[in-house]
Amino acid sequence: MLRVAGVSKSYAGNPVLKNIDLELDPGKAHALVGENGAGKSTLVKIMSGGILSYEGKLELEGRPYRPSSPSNAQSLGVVAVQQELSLSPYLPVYQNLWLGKGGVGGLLSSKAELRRKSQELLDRYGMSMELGRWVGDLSLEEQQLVEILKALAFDPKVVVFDEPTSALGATNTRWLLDLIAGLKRRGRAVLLISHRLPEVMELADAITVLKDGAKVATVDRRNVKEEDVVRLMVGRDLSEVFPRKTALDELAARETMLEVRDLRAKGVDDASFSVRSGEVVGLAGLEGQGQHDLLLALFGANAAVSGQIKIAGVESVVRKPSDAIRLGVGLVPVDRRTEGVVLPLSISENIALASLGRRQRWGWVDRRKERDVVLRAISDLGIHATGPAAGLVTLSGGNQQKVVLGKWLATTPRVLLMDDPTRGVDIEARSDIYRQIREIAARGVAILVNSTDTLELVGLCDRVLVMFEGRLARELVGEAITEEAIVGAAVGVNGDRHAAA
Amino acid sequence: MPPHRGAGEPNALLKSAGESLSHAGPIIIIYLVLLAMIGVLGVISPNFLSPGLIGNLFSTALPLALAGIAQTVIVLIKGIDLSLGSIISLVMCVAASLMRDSALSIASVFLLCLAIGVAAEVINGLFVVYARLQSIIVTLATSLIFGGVALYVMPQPGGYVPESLLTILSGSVGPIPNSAIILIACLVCVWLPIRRSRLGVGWYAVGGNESGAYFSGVNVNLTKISAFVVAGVFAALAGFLLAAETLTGDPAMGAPYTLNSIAASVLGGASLAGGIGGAIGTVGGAFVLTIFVDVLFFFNVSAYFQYVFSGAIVIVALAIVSMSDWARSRRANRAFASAARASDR
Repeated sequence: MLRVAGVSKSYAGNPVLKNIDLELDPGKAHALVGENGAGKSTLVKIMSGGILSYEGKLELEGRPYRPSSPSNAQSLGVVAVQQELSLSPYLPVYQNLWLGKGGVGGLLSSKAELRRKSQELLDRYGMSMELGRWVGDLSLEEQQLVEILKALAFDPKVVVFDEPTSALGATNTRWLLDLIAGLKRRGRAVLLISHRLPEVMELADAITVLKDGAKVATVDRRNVKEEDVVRLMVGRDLSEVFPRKTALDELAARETMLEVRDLRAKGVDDASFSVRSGEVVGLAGLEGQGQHDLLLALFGANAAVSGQIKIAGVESVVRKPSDAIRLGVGLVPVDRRTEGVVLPLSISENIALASLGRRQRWGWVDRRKERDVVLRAISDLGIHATGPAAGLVTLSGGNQQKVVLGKWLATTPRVLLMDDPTRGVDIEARSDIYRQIREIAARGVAILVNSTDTLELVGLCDRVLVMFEGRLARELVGEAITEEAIVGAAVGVNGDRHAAA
Repeated sequence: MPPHRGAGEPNALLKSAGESLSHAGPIIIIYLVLLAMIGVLGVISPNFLSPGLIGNLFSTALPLALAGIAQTVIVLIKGIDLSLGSIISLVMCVAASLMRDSALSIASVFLLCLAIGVAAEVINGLFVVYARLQSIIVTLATSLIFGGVALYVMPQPGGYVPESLLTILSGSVGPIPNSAIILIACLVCVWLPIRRSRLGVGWYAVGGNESGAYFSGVNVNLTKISAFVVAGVFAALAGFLLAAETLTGDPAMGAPYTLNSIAASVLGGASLAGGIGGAIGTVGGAFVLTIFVDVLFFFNVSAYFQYVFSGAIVIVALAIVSMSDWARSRRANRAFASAARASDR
């Protein structure tokens, strides 16, 4: 149905897709798997008209296919349900469903007609939802459902799902998986991108593995097991990417740096745990189970409702980020561009920002001290740049993330919280960041790192806390940290049963 | 030192392209334009470079330069101040209606003016920070309020301003006009210390990325309020000096300073998106605008068309800046792409 032949794409000289071939057949689901940053989303955007300049060819039903925009792709019968939602928050559901679709939802169609057509659409796919609500008032999960239904409104020939279940709970995940099976039965071609291998194994007929922008292999699902797919995805020994962990008995002798007791906050329900000096503890779980909220609460960006936080044995009150920083707690936020860095400023100003108070002389910033701190951070972290005055906009994502690390190192933290620190970071810079995390821990800092990348948790952490619905569902230590155990605990099932599957 | 990569690598290219984007660019450009304008005028009319006219230029440009700095500070924190002109009018009217000849009177009225400027801007700031209103709305409303108060204080132009103030303003120390000394003193004693303090860094950080600054422990609310306080100081200085220069109070005279101060900021390299800009560039922008109006005057262009030309120069300057940025990033992208192809082979 849809054929991708020799497609390549690079951004500012960094290749993100190298010569990709892919074939989607009617009535079949093709799965595309790979680590974050493997190029999956880029390929989706090319197929759905979101990216227009690339090399290579696409064919739809044997004819050349080169959509000029997402709406053009849609009118040719190809739609993508993407990770970034395309909904308008200030319009009701029934208007969002028909947004940008020629002829329907235009000025001339009446509210009643739109509502009727929307209800038909919902009925067809067995979903119920209040059509009149503003999309901005819906939960992320409901928005994702609207996004999926919107894509299906015109019964496309080719449907691409990019991580469609990451925002869905168990019930709606089941609904979606059945929906995809239904699409297959009706002869549609489906491309499914998912981190969740059980889904892939259930639905896909063929699996293509991407790694660092290149196709590793396309395999027939009937001939492979989950482990084979994982091996193809990783493609290398974990020890090449991750630094050595600290021995467990050595850690046991260290003092407790962060102790949390009965913490309740937005999204966090009664969390108790501790992190030792020099220890790297991972937070795992499906998206939105409270990992992110827990870090925000510890950093004072979300107020804790009740509970106790002890830092280096001293009971501490953290109401806002500046409190946390004063107590020696730093946060590498999940959204680097909006929360981590100040893009218009230079490397030097960004690194200095969180520790300005330490280098004042009569109220002035001590420029010489600041320069020393900044240069040390640049060389310690291996930030590739023309110099400390270079603007942050000129750095790659990985180097920007190193600047965020440098900013916190300049505060000489005792506890470092990291929220998905390698999101959107290329593989080379990632392994630099892992090494840095270990080195920071070796200086006695307690590290708590949330990650959506299960392999990363396995490779990096001394201990992993798996969260489920705001609670700490499971603790895994040392050898017990495996992908199977993490995923099993994350979906709230017994890890052993999952491992046997 | 940072480890450097080979020049053949695409990353090295990106970085060299990036460095030319540094924020010193617009400041250098505005001063080059200023020099060029002065040079051309000097050739056309040698009189222009006489000490008297240079002194005159400085005292004409001074209130705009100060108003421009006030505006720049607000623009830095991603705001805009549409009440600036009204505050200047208000300060001017208060000064002209209260001042007497004695030094004590002048000094106390000066302090009162500073207090009024700061109070007015703090009112703006409180609404922006705590009521979470957009600065453009708040200051549009307060510009009417402050303008109304100015009219109440002085319904007609007039009042009394001691002539000694004008004598001081138009005097000079050796070849250097006093108005230039006042301007430099403001830059060196007020702007630079703030720029180099934690406070000034905070303005740039908050304007550049508010939540990023918050997550770095910057007290965002206090930082914003402080910007309004400093803007109030400069607005009051502008109003007081305008009264001294014209020897009157006039409730309508401040109005053009609102838009001209924005123009001066932007010409001096400030970004209305926040986080970029500075007093030095703005002062350059204020001088370019002032000389431009002088030139129009010199060529007998009607006062109506002066507005047309002033508006045009701002739009053209902005278009040049944004188009050259765009061209530069396109060149950089192409250079990357070809370097990447070369390294693939």
